[in-house]
Amino acid sequence: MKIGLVCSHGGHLTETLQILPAFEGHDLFFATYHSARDNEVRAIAQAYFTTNIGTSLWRMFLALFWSLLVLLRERPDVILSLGAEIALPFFFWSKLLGIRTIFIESWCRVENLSKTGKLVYPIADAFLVQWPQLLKVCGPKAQYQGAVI
Amino acid sequence: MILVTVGTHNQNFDRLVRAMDELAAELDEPVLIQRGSSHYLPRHAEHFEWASSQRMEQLTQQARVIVSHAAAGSILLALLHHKPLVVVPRLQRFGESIDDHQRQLSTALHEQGKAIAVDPLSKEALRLAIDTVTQQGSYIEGSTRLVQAVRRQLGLWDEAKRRVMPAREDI
Repeated sequence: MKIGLVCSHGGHLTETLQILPAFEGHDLFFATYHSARDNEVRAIAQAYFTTNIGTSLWRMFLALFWSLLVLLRERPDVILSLGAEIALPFFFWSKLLGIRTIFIESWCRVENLSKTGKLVYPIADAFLVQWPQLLKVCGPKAQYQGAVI
Repeated sequence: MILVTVGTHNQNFDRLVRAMDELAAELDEPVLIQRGSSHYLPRHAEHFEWASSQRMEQLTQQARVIVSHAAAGSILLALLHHKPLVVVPRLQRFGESIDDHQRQLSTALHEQGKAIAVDPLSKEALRLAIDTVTQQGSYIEGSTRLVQAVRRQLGLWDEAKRRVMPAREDI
């Protein structure tokens, strides 16, 4: 299968790299933010970069077009994300295009979900959290299956 | 060497950079600060804005103690290298984060003995935490279970796809 790994730079990227062995035998590509680690990401797989969306609605709007172009070009079977907001446009299009999605809430979320987590929970095909105490505030779809460390 | 890191986050963490800089003036040990988006420029400690993850990994290996904002990436790096770790949460009311989730993570890590949380932040609290954490070990469990769970899910979907669309050689 082809799997798209969608993550912000910084910690979300570091967490994603911790579970790379999960994707052995599959084709991979990254969609992430520009950072000092661009070359490190490129060395692992095909990579698409954009600038940090953050809380900017304008940049989120632009990211809707960018993410659609990436998805139409790569045609993945699965999109997996450990956050953050960069996951939103990809999960939105994936739902419409019939691409399966896995969202893993970042390890930095112990007692409440991120905004991204709350928004993608209804549409994600699989939803994992990394702290068991988070299950209390999630719906029945959420699973705890260990953490990145 | 004490390595201080505030990550790639686009909000500043001047409180930590300033407190560690002031502490650096009183320590014999060198302090190196990755200051990120912070505005305060350290006067006593060595400092830089960002670095590649390779460079951060080298610096982590060289460090005796890591003092970090309470974010997953920096914490993972420190714990994977078995370094004593002090975490300081970014707080929303100082414009350091969009909410206070870092406080929850730092408290959880503190309770599990994986790190020492400094909250509220002060130069003296940092000094005490650095002294204390040096005497503790480091903790690692690994990502095996999560990796296997993701592999299992992908395997199920892969199988379903093969049933619907058999590969050419299977027909």
